[in-house]
Amino acid sequence: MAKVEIDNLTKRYGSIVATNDISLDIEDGNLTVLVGPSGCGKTTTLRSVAGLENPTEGMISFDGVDVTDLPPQERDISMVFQDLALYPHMTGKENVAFPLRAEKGYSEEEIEEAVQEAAKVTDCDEFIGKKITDLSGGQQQRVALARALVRRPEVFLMDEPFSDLDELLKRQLRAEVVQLQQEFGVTMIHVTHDQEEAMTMGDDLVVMNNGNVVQFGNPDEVFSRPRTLFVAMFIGSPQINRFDCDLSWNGETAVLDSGEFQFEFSGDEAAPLREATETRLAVCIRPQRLTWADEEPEDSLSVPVTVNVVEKIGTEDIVRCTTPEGYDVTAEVNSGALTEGMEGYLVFDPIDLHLFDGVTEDAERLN
Amino acid sequence: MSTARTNRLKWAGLGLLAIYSLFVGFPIYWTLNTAFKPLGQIGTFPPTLYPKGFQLDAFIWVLTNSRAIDAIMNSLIIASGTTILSVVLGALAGYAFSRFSWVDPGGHVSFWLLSTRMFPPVAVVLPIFFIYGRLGLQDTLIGLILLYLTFNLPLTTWLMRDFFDKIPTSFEEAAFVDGYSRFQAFRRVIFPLVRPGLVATMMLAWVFAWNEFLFAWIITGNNTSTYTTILPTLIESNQIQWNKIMAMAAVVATPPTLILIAFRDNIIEGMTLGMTDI
Amino acid sequence: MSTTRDSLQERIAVSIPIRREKLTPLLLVGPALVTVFLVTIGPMLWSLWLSFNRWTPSSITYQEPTFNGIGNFAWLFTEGRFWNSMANFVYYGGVGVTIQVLLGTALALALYNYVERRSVRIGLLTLFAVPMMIAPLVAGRVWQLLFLPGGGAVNGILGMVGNSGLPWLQSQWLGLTALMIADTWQWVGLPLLIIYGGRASIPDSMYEAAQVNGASRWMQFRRITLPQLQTLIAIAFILRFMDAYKFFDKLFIMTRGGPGTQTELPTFYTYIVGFSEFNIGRAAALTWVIGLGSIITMLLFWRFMNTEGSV
Repeated sequence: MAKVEIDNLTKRYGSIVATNDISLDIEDGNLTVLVGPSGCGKTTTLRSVAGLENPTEGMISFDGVDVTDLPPQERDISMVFQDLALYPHMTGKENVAFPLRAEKGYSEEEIEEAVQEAAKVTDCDEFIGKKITDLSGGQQQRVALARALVRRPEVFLMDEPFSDLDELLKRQLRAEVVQLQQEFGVTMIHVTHDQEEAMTMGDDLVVMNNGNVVQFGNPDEVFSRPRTLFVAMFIGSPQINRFDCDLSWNGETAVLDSGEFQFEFSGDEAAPLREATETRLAVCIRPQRLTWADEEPEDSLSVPVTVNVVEKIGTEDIVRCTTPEGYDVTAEVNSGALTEGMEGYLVFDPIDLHLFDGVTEDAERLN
Repeated sequence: MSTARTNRLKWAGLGLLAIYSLFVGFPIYWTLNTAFKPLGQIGTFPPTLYPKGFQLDAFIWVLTNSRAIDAIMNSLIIASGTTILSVVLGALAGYAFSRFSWVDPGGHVSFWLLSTRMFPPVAVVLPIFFIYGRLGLQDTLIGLILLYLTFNLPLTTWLMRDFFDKIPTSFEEAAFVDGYSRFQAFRRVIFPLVRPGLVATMMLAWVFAWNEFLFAWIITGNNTSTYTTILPTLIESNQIQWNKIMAMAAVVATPPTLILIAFRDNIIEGMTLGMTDI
Repeated sequence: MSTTRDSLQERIAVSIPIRREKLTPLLLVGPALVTVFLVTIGPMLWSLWLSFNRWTPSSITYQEPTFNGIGNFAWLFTEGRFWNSMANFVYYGGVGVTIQVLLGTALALALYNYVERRSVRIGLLTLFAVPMMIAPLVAGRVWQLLFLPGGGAVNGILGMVGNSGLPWLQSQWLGLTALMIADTWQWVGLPLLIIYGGRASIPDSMYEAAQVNGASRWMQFRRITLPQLQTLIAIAFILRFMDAYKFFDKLFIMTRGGPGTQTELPTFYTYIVGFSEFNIGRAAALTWVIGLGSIITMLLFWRFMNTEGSV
């Protein structure tokens, strides 16, 4: 169990900057998820922590000890690779025992015991004697986890190991990994491009884009107070609703005009807008924060819509609507509440609006 | 296109295959046919389709005559020696090319390596003839073993690089994370997995060395000979000893043929430079 | 035990930097590159120098190499016998390799399309690959026997259909043709295997989609098979053509370039100049001209293929 500190990590490949001056503190015993689209630098960061990449600049330390110049062999880490890297010419058991054989210090009994324990904890003791090539995808995943656990490392790294699995298996394994992490209290860094995976697994999320850390926080913070437009649009399923508006001032009242509708802000609500540097802002609201009304409500903000498509996902329905001018608005309502073709209003509370200074990815949060 | 035409095309295709199969098989059959004939029966007009005076003399000669045995043994030693050398050096280099891409910037080094294949062998043997003379490597087995590396080393490097490329780098990286040095990782993980490819490369290199003629013809003299260098000389009292030649041909063609049958898939992959995976 | 191990690790950790991996690959590649230099590139560079010298080290007219500029090259390009060999090569290389590639392609496609049982296909592929494994010299010897004017099997078969037999290895065109036939026997397998592999890797779904869209078999061939195989056919052609430059063993044993010099090819002529006339400077010049010609041809072909947009 170790605290991992990443300081000013920069990695360049020729003219390509994979990670740009990244600094992170990963708490001891936490499950931290690095999440972002392909090419954002999350895998490079993970591999730098592992020692598989040499940083161009910057430093990495475990519990205050500078490990930047240490090869992976010396770093007391475990890693699960995207392709699992299980050796096909060995059985599951031999794969799990493999890390222990690197040092001559263990006796056969000690190895056997450690392997059995790791297998039991990851639920693969039944088939661990078989050859890797005889195992199913899910079974292989468990063996890979067992192999990573067998040495009880200080830091546990996972490089998108679940991306090729079917939904059911994904959910199952995510839950099991979280359980294992909490049980053993290992410091775990998990890399994924799947924001749902990040939200369900992480104690802390590190949202990355274009080689930079865009936001660091727990799932709640990242979901309800995204720091930039990119985070708002990347995190959350279904995707957040976005209206690009022009800002103008009517005395003390701020007016955001999206072309079809206008939002007015006065008094305290208008205060954050004074900080705006751009005149075109993005206004966002989560589908979960919209409610349906058949008639236009008197004293609440709303937009008129027609229901286009109703997607059933269980207890909720995702309704994709369009406004008279053709804007798409998505809302999440109780199952069965709405049917296609219905006309009505989506009501929202201005407190649930996310305002961003500009309409580019790195537009910063105003409120 | 009508079914009738499709059918005609099919029969034409099958016919072509049949004719070609006969074409391939005929010289093989004729070799054996001639090998079992007494010398007098060869070269008659019309030629006899089967050995009427069936005799094993030619084969016995190949297997007992000291000159023949010496030549075949030398070929064996040279082929095996150069194979081991070329495969060891080629595998090490191939591994480096596969795992350390910066050793081969822009693919230039491997292009160079492959381009040596484009020069006719006489281009190399011409200067080597004199260099070997000065070094005293003329007419020696070791001289040929080293010289054969000219065409075998680029081949083995190329093939082994291909075979190593098929093993993901994550395999070594996983071993590193677990505490293994690169050498240990190679020994415990990579080598067992690349072994089939290694064997195939060895077989292919061996066959090319076994079949070589020009280098041997120029470099060997009175002390050393290979089966290829005695084949043009099997003449007694102005008569070409066809039956002995064909018997020898049959004997020396057997190892490569057996290798082809045993390692068929990998040999074919190697011969087509990795392009064909049956 | 664990504490001493940890502190030992600490001490080692400090002294082994991660940069050490720069040395390993050089050590791995070094021996191979050094060997190639010593055995191949080095000697060839010396021969390049020799090509600018006059050197005839036979015991009768021995002299040290003396620089004579491009003298050897001037001689080369005006030497009739050289051009004779090149003309032969154009016929042998152009016609011969084309036949090999076309035949190989036709056979590969026929094999893939019309032979249903996989075991038979594999068996035939193996059979077709056998000639490639035989030493070219041995194959040459066998074909020499087959082409014997009197008791050769080829003339025997011709005799069965009424022909009185041809003087195969005794004339220019017949000689070159005989060499081509022998070479074809040996090497059609290469384009065959390459094209077969290429055809096998075209997914069935492409053809199925075309069938659903009503395409005839000819259309399928033109629009699916041919474009996909274009590159491989070109590669097969290049490979065989470059090998044709090196053609030697069969020529040596079947005709010795004869009668006279009528079936000579460039590489054989080089051998004569070098090891029969012992004019090393000229022979070296020849090898370089031939070798560079081979590389240039390949590069031109590669450029041609790339600009066609088919890669």
